[in-house]
Amino acid sequence: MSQSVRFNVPGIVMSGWQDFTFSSIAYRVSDISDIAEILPFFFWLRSKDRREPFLILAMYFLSSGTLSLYGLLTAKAFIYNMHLYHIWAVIQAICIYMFYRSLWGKTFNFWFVLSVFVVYLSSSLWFQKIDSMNSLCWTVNTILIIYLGTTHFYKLYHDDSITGALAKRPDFIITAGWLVYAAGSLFTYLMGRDILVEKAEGFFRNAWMFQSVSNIIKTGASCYAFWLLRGK
Amino acid sequence: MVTMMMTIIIFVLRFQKKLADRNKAYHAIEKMMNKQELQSAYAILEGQEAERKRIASELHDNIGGLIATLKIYSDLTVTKEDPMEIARLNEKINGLTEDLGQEVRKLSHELDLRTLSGFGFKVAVQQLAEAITSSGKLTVASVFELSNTMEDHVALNLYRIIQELLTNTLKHAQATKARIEIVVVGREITLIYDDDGKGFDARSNSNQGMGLNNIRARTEIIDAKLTIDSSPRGSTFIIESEPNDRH
Repeated sequence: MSQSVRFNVPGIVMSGWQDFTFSSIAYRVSDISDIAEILPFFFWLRSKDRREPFLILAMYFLSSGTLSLYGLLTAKAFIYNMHLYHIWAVIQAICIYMFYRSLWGKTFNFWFVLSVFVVYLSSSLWFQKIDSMNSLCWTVNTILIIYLGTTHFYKLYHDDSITGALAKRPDFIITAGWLVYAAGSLFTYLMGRDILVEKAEGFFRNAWMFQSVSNIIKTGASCYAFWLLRGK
Repeated sequence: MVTMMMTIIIFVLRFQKKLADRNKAYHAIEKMMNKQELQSAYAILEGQEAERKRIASELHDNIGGLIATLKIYSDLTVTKEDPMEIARLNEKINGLTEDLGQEVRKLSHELDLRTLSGFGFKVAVQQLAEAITSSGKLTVASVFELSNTMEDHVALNLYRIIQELLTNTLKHAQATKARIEIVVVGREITLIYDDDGKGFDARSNSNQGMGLNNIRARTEIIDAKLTIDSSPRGSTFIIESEPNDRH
């Protein structure tokens, strides 16, 4: 049996031979998810609104898209890249927090941002080390996204000044996409090691498919939201 | 993930329902307001019609009768040759002319009072301001902050003061703009009038014309304080009343 090596897709062990079972579909979906990560940034470039809060989200997609593509390429080249996901988790937490604070017309809390950075760094150094998957940090990210997203929905519901359709609001589309992503990812990070195997095998036991599909939904929603901004 | 999607769909449906309910409520309120506005407009039209009929009746019965008698006496002075008879007729004509003047003044006074009491102080002042503005001689702006109503005689005296102020501005100040601000808060009344005219010396007795004396007199009647500030760039009159239920 060929040696297993962990690559860019956490939890997936890539064996020395490739079969054309469902696992190859999972890899393809994962590849699409990685490549698509940068697309929202290009949609934002075409929009007219270059101010906050969408500027923050666009910068996030630029950085995450770059990390994602780098991760994909290094994985294909069998280069170690687990540390990317530690960096990515911090960037995602901070950017999403700043995005929603800006959306609500509030300034971000410097101490919260610093705390996130310190906690995640501590986790990477001492708890779930740099050479392993930082699933706890990603779980915290998904919980943060769910909290921020549902809070934004609550504010939308109680905002009497909104009279138009929700489907035309970029902030709603983005939030819906991120919530779906968080729900899919949370399941993966929490359940991945217990119910689901770490190998890309079998449909119902392939954790990473959920994460990739939910990521594609998030990316698609963000692209559509930035496309809505093109006329504004 | 599927649960989250279902949650989002339910959220959207509830939000749409909330919007639909709110739109329905707005339409109902709009309909009610339109109905009320129509009713108010009809009431105003009816009131105006009744008022016109009354004026026509007074003009015809009272003033018309006097003018007709005046005409008769006037015709007689042409036909008579006896100087004593002519002098007697002229005396009667003088008396009738005086009566006529009084009737016209009385009718005019009643009209003003009716405007004030029927349509309110604010409407009366606004109509006065609009009438002067439309003449093209002076642009008059009026600002009101009326938290409660004034007594009739206070409203009437304030209205006369405003009339006097505007008359003075038109006659002497060579102004292009005037502003009337009336604030009734609780029991205190403040009237601020200013214009951009050439001003006058408020302290000099030679400038105390009939108009200014009338203003001072009416200010005293309503137990208010008059402050005048005048310069070549304009004049400001401030009338501050004590609690308006002491008269």
